[in-house]
Amino acid sequence: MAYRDDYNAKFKIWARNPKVVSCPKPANLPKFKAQRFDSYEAFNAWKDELFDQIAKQGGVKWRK
Amino acid sequence: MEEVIELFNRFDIRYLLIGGQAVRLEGFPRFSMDWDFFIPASDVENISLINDVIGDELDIPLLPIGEHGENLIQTFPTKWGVLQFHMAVAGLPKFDEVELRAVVHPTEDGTRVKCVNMDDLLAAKEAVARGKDADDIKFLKAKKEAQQK
Repeated sequence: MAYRDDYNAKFKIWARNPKVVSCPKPANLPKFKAQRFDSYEAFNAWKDELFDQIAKQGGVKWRK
Repeated sequence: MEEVIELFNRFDIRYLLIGGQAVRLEGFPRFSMDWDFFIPASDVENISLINDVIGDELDIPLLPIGEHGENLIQTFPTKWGVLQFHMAVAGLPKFDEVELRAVVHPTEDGTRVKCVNMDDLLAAKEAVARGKDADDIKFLKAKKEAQQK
């Protein structure tokens, strides 16, 4: 017997009964200074680099 | 972050929450590393007020948009978390227009947050359509559909 999972089912369930769930805070983001960007391309490139750094450090720890 | 939003509300700062945190306040359980705020690009008084109110936490001042689109997005690590200010948002008209149809959502602690409405949030997500936006788009479409029934 094949088991199938409907990946989209959860969106319908949450959409029918939306609840605000608290968002934990990242505890160990790599340190960076404030930045100004003139385009979304530059911003996204910077963010991709930040994600790479996060991956290299083994991810982010979240705290309440 | 509620502290920042309460300061914005108390000082009548013009802002609208966008991005992942705005999707979360629509009821989608998700994480986000930052808080994205759409602000009027050329409202120098508003930008000056933001600098007055939270400037001690910003290591460089927030600037209005430049003549050639400089400073379109500005990101700041702060004690409250990462704040990102957007002077324009792909898929959306100017701030003044979006502000007219904005909505207020409470956080889990009851802080009232001014947010772009669901249609604008969906338009912004669809305009960018990064891989990581796909689930947000699915949720927002499902919520719209549920509301129409």
